[in-house]
Amino acid sequence: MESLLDITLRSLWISGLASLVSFIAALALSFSLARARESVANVVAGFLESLVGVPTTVIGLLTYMLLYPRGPLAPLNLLYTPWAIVIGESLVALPVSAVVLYRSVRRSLSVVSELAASLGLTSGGLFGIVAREIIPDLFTSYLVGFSRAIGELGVALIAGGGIQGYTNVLTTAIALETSIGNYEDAISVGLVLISITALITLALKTMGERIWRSS
Amino acid sequence: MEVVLEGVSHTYNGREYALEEVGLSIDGPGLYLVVGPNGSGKTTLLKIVSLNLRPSRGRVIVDGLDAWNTSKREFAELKSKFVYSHDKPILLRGTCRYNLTMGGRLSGRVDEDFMKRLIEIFEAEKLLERKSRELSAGQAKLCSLIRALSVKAEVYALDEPFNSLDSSNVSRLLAVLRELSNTKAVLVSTHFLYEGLLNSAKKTIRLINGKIA
Repeated sequence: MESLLDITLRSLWISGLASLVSFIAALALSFSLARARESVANVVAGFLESLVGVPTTVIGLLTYMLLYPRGPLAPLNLLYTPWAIVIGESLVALPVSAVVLYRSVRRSLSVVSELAASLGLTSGGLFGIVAREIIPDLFTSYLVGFSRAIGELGVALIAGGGIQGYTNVLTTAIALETSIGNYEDAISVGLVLISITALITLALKTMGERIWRSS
Repeated sequence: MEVVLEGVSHTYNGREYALEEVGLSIDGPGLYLVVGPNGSGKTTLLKIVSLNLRPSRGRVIVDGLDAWNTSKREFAELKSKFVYSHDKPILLRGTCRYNLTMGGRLSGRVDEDFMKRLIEIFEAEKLLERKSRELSAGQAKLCSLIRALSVKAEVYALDEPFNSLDSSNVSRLLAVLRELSNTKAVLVSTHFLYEGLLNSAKKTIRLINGKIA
């Protein structure tokens, strides 16, 4: 097995980047939905909620179909590269990040818009103010996306291939070590995965709460 | 500035009317009292007069223009002449000072000198660095009122501005509103009828069950 540190660092950058991409997309989606007609927004939000539970193997398959030699994104030559995992994990994390953000953005935008209207403003310029109002939810949204991304196996295995030294991440390492009966290593990698997720969640939560308290 | 309401009705649920066939005019500076029991339609009326709420029926005419049938640009220009202050203050996360700066940031039309004067009058210096969630109901109301009154406008619609204020702040606010009403139209909804308020009113609008009595 390659060094645990290498696998961990690779997992961190791939899932960190994927959850960042999904977080930015979720933010844009939440703001668009919050401005949309409520009936339309509720339908889209309901659809997103239903996507939260989609198995990651299905999203892995979808990513594979996009990138495989006859897929629409084949010219990019990304299949079985870390970038394939980034794309797939972004899709995995997007629904959960968006679901967390949407209701918070909608509630806050409604309050800030009401205030702006009462002071004579008719539109625009509220993004920064709303974002400041929901700082803890921004952290939570990124965190849940990151947790889902770093803990998923389907995409990493199907679109990444679990290639040692290249696309092998913590979850594929666990699967690989278990399949060859190397249970001690599999357990070690599992413990690292749990520790990392817990530590990052704790650190970001603490940071979010500090910002919340200081404002 | 003149605001005329013609046959204005409003319903929130499509069945019951909060306001029904209301007609009134706000003709220039002065203190306009909107009085009536709870649920009589005072808040709805103030929101409609200040262009914060589009009535279900009827017209709101501002300086001869049918406000809700103007272009987006014209409406924005008209809207910038009104300020509405909520009964329940809307304060954002952050200090009272941050919330006061919101007036300028959101409207772009703040009279800084008047704001300083209001802070002095209401002895609100000690509140400036307090977080909004740490303010009492009365302090939050003061912060919200100072923010609203410092925005430059022609019409100020204040929804229950005396609620949660102690007697000394009620007197101070009365004095401020009297002074402001010399040059601006100030609409005040209230179910407390202070003598000083009644004496200073240019017009008193009595609402009962959504109709002018």
